[in-house]
Amino acid sequence: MDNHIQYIDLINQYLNKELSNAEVLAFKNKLKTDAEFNTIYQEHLIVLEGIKRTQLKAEIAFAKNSYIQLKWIKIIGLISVVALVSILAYNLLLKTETTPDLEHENQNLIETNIDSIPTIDKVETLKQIDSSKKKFVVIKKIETQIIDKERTNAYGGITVIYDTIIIKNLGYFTKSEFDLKFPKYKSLKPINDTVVINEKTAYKSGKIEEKSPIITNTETKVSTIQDIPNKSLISFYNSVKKQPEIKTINNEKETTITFKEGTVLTIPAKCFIDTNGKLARGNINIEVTEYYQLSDMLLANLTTMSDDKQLETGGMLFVKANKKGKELRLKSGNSIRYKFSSNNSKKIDMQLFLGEENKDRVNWTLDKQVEPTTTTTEVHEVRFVEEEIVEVPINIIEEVPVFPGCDTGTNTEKKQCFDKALSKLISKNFNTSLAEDLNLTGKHKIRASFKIDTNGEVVDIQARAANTELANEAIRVLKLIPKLKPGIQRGKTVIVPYWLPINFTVAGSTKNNPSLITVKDKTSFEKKFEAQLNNRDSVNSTSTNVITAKSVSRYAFYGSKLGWINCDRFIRSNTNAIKFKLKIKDANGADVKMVFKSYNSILPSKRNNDNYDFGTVAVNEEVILVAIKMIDDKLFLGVKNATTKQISELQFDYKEVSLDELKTELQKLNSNFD
Amino acid sequence: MSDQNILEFFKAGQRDKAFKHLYNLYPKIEKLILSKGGKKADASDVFQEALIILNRNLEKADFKLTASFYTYLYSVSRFVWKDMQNKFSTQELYDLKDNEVSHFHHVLEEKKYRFAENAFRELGERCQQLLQLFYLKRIPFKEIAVTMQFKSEKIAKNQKYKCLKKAKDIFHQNYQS
Repeated sequence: MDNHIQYIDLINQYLNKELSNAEVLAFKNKLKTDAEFNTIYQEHLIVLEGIKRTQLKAEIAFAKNSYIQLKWIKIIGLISVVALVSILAYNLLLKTETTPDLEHENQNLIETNIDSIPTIDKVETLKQIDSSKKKFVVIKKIETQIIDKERTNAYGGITVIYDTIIIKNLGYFTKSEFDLKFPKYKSLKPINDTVVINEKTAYKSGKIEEKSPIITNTETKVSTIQDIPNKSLISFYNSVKKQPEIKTINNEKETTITFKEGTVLTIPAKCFIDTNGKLARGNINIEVTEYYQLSDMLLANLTTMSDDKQLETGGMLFVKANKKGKELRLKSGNSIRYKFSSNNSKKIDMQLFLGEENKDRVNWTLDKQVEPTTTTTEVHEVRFVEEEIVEVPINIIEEVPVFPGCDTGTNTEKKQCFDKALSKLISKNFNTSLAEDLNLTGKHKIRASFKIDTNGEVVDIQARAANTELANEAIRVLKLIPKLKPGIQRGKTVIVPYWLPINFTVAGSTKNNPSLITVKDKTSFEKKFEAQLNNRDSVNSTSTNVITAKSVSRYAFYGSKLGWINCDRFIRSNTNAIKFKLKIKDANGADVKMVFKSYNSILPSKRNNDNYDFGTVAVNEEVILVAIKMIDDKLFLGVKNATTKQISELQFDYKEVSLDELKTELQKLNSNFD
Repeated sequence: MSDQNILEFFKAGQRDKAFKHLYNLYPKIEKLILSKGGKKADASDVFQEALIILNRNLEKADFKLTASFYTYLYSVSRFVWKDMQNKFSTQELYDLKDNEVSHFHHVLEEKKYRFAENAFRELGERCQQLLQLFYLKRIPFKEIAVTMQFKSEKIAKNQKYKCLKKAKDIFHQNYQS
């Protein structure tokens, strides 16, 4: 500590040029030999520069102010000059007008003087009349902010807002005409023959609020309708529940996991807490059930309804987390990124819906967690790190990195060959005369480390030595390592860190020099940076070859809740809607669902004896009606193609099926969902 | 006002005058930043940064302004803005001309000083004042002790050391992360 204070004092004296010549030399020498002192000195300089910046900023701010003042003085000066000139010109004009009068009546000076006053008055009133008749331009300026809901959702809570300004030219008006037409804006005065009407409208949500199809039914007599399928069917649906896929992750760090059907979850570190609100430490289980297939949805009794509005789905998920069987929940403020798999052309306006299990079915509601109150930011680009880069030490790696010429033998042999080749390279290239130049004697050790990246290139070279020059020389030599074959772990190229000591002895006694200095190769940072850019660019340009379209087209959302999650959009229906009700023969309490052929949507039905009510649906749509019933523990399936128009009665051909048969039959329908 | 005259101001240590004249270039820089999607406030920040970078390099013994002030400030401002936006494409980095590479390095170099400045600004007001008095105004501790009401010269000195240490710690923390 005291040492440190003295150092700082010394540095201050040096910077203030208060040292004698001899002291300056000693100081410079100390910088070269004492690594710790050097670091302190460099750091001190940086902090001083930081402090200096505050002064510079103050000076610049001052300069800016005087610049702005000067600008205004210039503008005001210009205006006053213009005003002066126009006054002069006006006076001159009046003078020329009045002079003939004066000359004409110069005999009677007093009279002319009296006369001249009313003439000026006349001119003024004339001018006034003129101005009230004069027409001016009326311009309406409408400022609107539109929230892009889709992008707002996609960016997970960062509200994306477009400012639009519409300028309308409303035409030419005289003041009286204007007052008549726009009584609200009477007080506005034309400036430069222009009146600007400002209108501001607050947030408007762009293209989301869907007008629900014309619902004309006023009768809502739910009570009489028995909409619960018989109990045995519910227990049946429960018994065939799709098994979740369970993955174990570490809650301490951010993880990205991909599930069988293509869902990708990105889970931030430390976001799960137990029911007592305590952070879950260590390994936790994430359970995800994916519903992308129509058959999976039908078997899980899933439909795509948000209250009474029909949705089109892009996939549903059921997400849960537990630690040793104890349920976990998401810490508030944290959100998981859900990427839904989708193998069809990207549909726009997909939104995140959360499901609630009520009675017998899951109802979806739009996830409203994204409120337009957060800061408005335009997001230019969102970068996602798909995979963490793994480092594997050379001693345990499955396939060691290979030095050129070392590609035969076992792993151990390859590694020995590697070590040998490396020491050969160093002894051949290391400039030992450097030691003499630096007056070094005795034994010396340089501890060097580097990493072999996934391309087989040597990066992040660091060297610790008693002296900067020695460290730099070590780095120079290590940079000569040719391109290697990268190390492989589990079939994937990984980064392999490598440490090596470089020892050499120069004649003379070994001086005890405990302070070591670390030098990092700076170019590796820039290289990395460029490589990253390269990677990104190449991914962009060659994505069609490397990555299938399927893995690219995904809907991505941030969700702050677990449970039922659905990526949907409201169905835009331009066609007419009808109430679709029909009688089904031999229904026996069957559960009937309506599957749409033109979009991924499933509607439930309400049953009253044999009468089934599907609510209001778009007219003339091709649909498939799927009926499942259970009589005495026997399963029956009926499938019927239909069109949504007035139908009074339908007859299903029921087939007795086993559970497996039911599954296969339903899977046959999958092609109706894209 | 020619570049030569402005340079003279810098040499004579009349930075305020030099800055004032350089501000005449501001509208052009503002136009540049606005055209790149920035706001007016951004433009002001960028220009300020460019002036600081210019000043830093003029103070270097080995620096020679090869282009006009306008060219230099324009180029540096462009990099500063890109750096703020974190938007460099590889192609751009490849296409850099020699003098542009040096400008780019100036911008990168300035970053650590900006961190140091931020660290300094995180200090308490008294600490800031103390360090500024000593390092910028070069007022001896004896006088500092009087103006800032420290009991003795030694306490002032000790306090300054503590403040400096704190600034360094904050700097380290921020710079590393």
